[in-house]
Amino acid sequence: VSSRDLMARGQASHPGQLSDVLERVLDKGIVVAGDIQINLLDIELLTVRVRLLIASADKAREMGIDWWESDPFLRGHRDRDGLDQRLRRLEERAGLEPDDDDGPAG
Amino acid sequence: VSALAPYLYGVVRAGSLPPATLDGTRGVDPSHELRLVEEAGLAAIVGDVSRDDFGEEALRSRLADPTWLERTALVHEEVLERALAATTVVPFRICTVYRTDDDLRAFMAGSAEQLAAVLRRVDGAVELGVKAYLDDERLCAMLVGAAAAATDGSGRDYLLQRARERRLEHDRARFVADCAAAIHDRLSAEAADAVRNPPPPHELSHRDGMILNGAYLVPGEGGALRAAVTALRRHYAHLGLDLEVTGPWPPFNFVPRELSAP
Repeated sequence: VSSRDLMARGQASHPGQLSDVLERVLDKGIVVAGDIQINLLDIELLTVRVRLLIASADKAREMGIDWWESDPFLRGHRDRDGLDQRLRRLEERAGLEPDDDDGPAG
Repeated sequence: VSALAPYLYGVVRAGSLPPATLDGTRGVDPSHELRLVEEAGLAAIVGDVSRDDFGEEALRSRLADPTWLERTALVHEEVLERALAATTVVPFRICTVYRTDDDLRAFMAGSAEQLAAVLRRVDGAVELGVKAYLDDERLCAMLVGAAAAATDGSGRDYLLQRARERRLEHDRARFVADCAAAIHDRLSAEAADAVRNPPPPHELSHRDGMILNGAYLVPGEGGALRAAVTALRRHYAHLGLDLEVTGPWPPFNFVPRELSAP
């Protein structure tokens, strides 16, 4: 069974697609603590894996994800940037000039 | 030939899942058939995997292989969905692997009461996911329209601009929060149980503007909840709100995060 087949099936049964499957299967469901050989995935590890996963799934572009842009390690302060962008959009909408007083180079 | 270990997908009531349901479904290791391990009135859906592949060391490197992880996640879900079509199923986390069947049986026997309680809680129900998206541009345009109407148009000075900007962001945040809460309340009224999850990480989102990421435990096919979604979609259409329904899912969001082995 190829992963492409599975993805096609997954998408057929779930319009929410691969992302919805991953959101559940990787992060929900009972974890057994105790006498068990393998017991994963701690959240930090998971986040890294998911990023890798999406990067290589060659679904990224199709899903509208530019993972290089959103990777905090490659990009720096993602949250702040996102906030700035949102603010800028609001400012534009409100007919205001963006103010540069908190940017290093203006 | 390497030793085998049982990979656990989920637990159902013993006798509730005709073994033929799983015929033709392959597990994460496609070279082994899926099977049921019965104990204490419960049946575990398992598929054997090679310990060489799922040992702690091997698994660590496999998890670094995105293709493998993606495929494993999808197969895990596929197996659970097969079971879900026939009976109530309690889903386990991906890559839950026991050393031997005896270890698995010991877990089932020791946790039988807890598992039975979980099964009662989700009996006859499935999970539906609902995500709500708001068109930010349309919303901002609406709020800006309201803000502009409230000023005389001559306010070019800095303080006034800042005040307007803050008000806009404040209005927007409040509106989004109210809207999401109203939708979640309405949908929760049609569900036996409901949870609001934070929006998934950017890497897992295929759309911007998610204001609600809800999961709802609903009886049967969830017709009442789907009808409520349709009504909400119509009600909020003018705001650029869209609702996405996914599922039916195994009740991933309505089982305990953790069970301790006895």
